[in-house]
Amino acid sequence: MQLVIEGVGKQYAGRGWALDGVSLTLTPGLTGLLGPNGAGKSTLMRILAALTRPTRGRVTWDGVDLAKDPDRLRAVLGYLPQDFGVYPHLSAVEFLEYIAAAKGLDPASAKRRIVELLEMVHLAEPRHRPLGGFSGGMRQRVGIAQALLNDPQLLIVDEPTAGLDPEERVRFRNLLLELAGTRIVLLSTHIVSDIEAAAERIAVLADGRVIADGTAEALLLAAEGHVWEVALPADQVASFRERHRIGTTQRRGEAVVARVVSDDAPHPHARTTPPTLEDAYLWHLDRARAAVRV
Amino acid sequence: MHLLRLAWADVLERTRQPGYLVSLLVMVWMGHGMLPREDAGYRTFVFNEQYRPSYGPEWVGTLTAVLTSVYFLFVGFYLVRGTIERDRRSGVGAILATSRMSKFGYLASKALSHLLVLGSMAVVVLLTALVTQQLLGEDRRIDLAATLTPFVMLTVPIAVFVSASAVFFDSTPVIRGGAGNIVWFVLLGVIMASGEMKEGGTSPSRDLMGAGIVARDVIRVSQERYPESAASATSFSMGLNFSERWKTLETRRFDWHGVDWSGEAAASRLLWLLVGCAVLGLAVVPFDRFEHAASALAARRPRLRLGARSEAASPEPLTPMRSADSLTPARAAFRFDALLRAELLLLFRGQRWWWYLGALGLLIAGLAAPLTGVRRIVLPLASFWPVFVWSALGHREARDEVASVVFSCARPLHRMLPATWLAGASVGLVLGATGMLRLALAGDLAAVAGWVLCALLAPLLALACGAWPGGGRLVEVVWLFAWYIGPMNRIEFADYTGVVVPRSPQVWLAYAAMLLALAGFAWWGRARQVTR
Repeated sequence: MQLVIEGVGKQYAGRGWALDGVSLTLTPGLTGLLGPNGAGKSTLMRILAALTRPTRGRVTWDGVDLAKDPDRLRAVLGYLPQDFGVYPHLSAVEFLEYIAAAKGLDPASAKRRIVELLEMVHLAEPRHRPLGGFSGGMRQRVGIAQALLNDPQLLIVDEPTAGLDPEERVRFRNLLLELAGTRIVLLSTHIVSDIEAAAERIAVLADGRVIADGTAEALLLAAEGHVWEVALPADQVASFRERHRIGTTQRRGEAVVARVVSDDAPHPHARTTPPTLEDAYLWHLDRARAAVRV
Repeated sequence: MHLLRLAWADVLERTRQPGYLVSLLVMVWMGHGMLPREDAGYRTFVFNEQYRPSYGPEWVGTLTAVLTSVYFLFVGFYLVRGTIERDRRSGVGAILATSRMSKFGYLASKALSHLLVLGSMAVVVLLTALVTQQLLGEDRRIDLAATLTPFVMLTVPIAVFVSASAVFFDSTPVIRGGAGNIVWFVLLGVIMASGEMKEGGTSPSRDLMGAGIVARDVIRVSQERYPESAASATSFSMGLNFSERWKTLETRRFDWHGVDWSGEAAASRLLWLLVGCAVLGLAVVPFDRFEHAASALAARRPRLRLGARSEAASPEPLTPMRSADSLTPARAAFRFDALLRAELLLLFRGQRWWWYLGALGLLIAGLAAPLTGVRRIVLPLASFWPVFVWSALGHREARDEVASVVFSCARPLHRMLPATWLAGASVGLVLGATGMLRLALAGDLAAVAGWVLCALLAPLLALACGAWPGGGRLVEVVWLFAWYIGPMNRIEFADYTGVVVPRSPQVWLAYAAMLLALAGFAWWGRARQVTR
């Protein structure tokens, strides 16, 4: 079971390259795709879900080119898009039955699985109510259920925790970890903590390119020595921020302690500190952007 | 000033859609077609068969102004409406509702935006007609004031009336959806019938389009020039009239210098302008200022949800999530009948009670009405009743934002498209079932076959158009237009039902070819939707 992305680029008319030369090989396990808004994550997800054709490069599923036979991948795909709606007049059960029929699942076993999935995402009670009356979080859970309907070998989830409350988020991350044991799970998000908790491999995408790819430890190691902590008077923070990339700030009495991502000491009193994944992510972004400028 | 800015933003949003360019191209085609050559197989003005003014600046302006008004009433309304609903669905309305914008200010900006869109269409017609006038060469005088005045006096009041009515319909519960389109059509029929030209003319105040004012003047001049035209029975029509005999019938032309727009004529046009303004004022009453949009938006967009409401809506206590491995295994076994059933459920869910009531009425009428009534009224109505069910077929994935979910399923073209098509076709077959039975019992199998073809054709048209922005609306307008020309006016080639007018073999062939072409377009369009 292998999804290979080779030199994939996507150009939109009049908008330049949304993706440029992306190459990744995905095997069973959970891969996190991290990147700022507009980095090209959703475009890549849509290409992998056979909803958009790449302008160049190719994607293969177990050796089969997606451009030539997209249905081979669709048969084993579970996809939770970033923005999606529902048919408002159908109930959760009816909507999932529709998707099950469209996915080509046996109606009898699909019926049982739908009930179980709705129990799993805690929508058993309102399952016969029209989806039009569901809250955003409830709809997101219907989305999760539809993505798992066909027990996918490849699960692509784009910003899946949007709309979920903190406890639901934790539960969903655990579910992804469980699924990743025997499946390929690709989780796209710009929420670093989601990735940190779940992904064994992280790919960072910026301006349509993969700028880092490895384990969380590898990303952290690369950023080692580039994260600084410095205590500043509160009234100097704004001017300091104009000159340096501040990750987070924390108020301590009269002073503000800032975490700064920089190759050099940003202040005479700054001292290096172990990076968090968020620091590492910012450092990789800065490094990639600096490389583009050069 | 805010009103102008709002209206302008709305106009920009619309004019940057490909559908707008298409509508302008249609206007070019229509502007040219409104002035038929003498040997054309149709007329847009008929007075006692063969009399008409020469295509000079006054007649070109007047004829195109009246016909543009007809187009605005019957098609323009459907083209411009829907922007308030768009604001409601996109959430823009909720944002505007939190500003200091007044209800009237918002609605007036929408009406102004409609007016500007219709106005741009009228300008295209006018320019095309001026070029056509030169090409035909009957009277090459250029008199912009004479050509433009009828547009100001006839088309502008109609455009205001249509714009205001579209806003009123979009603001009013019940008629702001598909039901409003039917209500408008019926309402137009009533207004037109009450203002219909009768012997001795009609009151200008009841003459919505002002065609009667024009007719009186044209008839008067015609009878002065050709006294014999006064002796024959008066027949007068402005609109599309098809007949083979017009290809050979000699046209008797005369000079005509336009309507004297003063006194009662001008007052009647001013009256319709004021009626339009009053309709706009009335729209403020039912308009809810997007009171129900915020919660709808929150539900549609997880990220913009109203956090507290959303969490409070969680129906069950938070417990550990069940393990995925404990679920019933998913078994792949595609069943077309299951997909077709799901498609039918999707089609029928969401229809209002009155739709079912109407459908039931049609089924009963199909059994109870005389056979001529079944042919001429019941089945034509049954071909119109599901138009809003059909029109959703091609674009509901985009409308309800489920395209990514649905089109990432296996074989969206080979499985889902035929299922959607057949589900749509079964709606037509069911609604016409009793009528078909009557026709079959009467031995008219050709009409039964015609109806089956119609039921297959309609959803294909919707699927073919659905791939383009505004495709659903296009289907509704095209179907309505075809319904008016075909089953209602009993024109053979336009009778898509195949039951009102017996078909010649050529027309059968043409419809069969159309079915194949639409199937090709539907396939191609859906392929575009699946992989954009």
